[in-house]
Amino acid sequence: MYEVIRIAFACLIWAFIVKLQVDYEQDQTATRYLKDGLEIAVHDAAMMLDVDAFVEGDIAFNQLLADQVFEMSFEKNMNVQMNSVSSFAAGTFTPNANSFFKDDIEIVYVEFIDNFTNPSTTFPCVYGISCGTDVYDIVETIDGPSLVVVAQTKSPRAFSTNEKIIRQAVVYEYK
Amino acid sequence: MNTTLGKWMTLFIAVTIMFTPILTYLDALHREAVDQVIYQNMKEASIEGYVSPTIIANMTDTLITDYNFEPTSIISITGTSMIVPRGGFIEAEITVKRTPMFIMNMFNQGEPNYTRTFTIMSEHLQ
Repeated sequence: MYEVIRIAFACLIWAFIVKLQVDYEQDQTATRYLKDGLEIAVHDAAMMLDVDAFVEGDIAFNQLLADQVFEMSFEKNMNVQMNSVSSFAAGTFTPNANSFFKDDIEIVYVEFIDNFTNPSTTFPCVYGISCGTDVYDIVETIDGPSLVVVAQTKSPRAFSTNEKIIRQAVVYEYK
Repeated sequence: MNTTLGKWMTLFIAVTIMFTPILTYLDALHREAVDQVIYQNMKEASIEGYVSPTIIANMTDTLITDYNFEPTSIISITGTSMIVPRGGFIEAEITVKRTPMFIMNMFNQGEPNYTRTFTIMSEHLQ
């Protein structure tokens, strides 16, 4: 009897380790998915230049088109559906039924750094110091016109009831 | 008799729970490897404008040599095979077999395969 109790106690400890392990992996995977999906969506959005400005010699983003492309790309790669008027203005994406995520993904910050928004900037510049506004303590040296996007969601933890906010920032230069 | 039966029953559960953390970790690492491989190579595909045979070979090679995947566990690597001009979307998909999550095949092991699909905009200039 004593041995059975001892094994049962060991089982409890191992079960606790499983819980920690699985929750940690969910956090890790959620961070990676958000980072990768956001990087690709920002990459795609940062390709949307204002052609009229470009003809005049300025590099500036077509913000409306960038918004639409971001939405399209983010929805495809993250298996989510936009639940707001615009993806860049307080954008909210709701996960589909078979998505890895369970809670809405919010686009909490968007900033365009180009010849129109930062006319006096010379590249390379240090984000938050010589160009852009430093809202989320992003450390980045920017070599050209860029798009900065910050997104966040709750980690889809399997066991823990403690909410874990996953937040990722991406800075992508026009290429 | 009761003690012996109790011991055996607890042993099965104990062994399963003991190996589950490392097996789930291994499964998570495999998924991460697939994600990294497809993500890195999609950037290359974006520049080339399509998922070229070289990129597919590179993805297969990376999974086998760098991440120790068995060649038989890589079920398929597919992608857009025609050049897409700048502004169009390129797709790629990797499907691999998953490793077991539980050491004894008594519980639901989940999906047998892991599939990761990625879509990226082409940067290719004609």
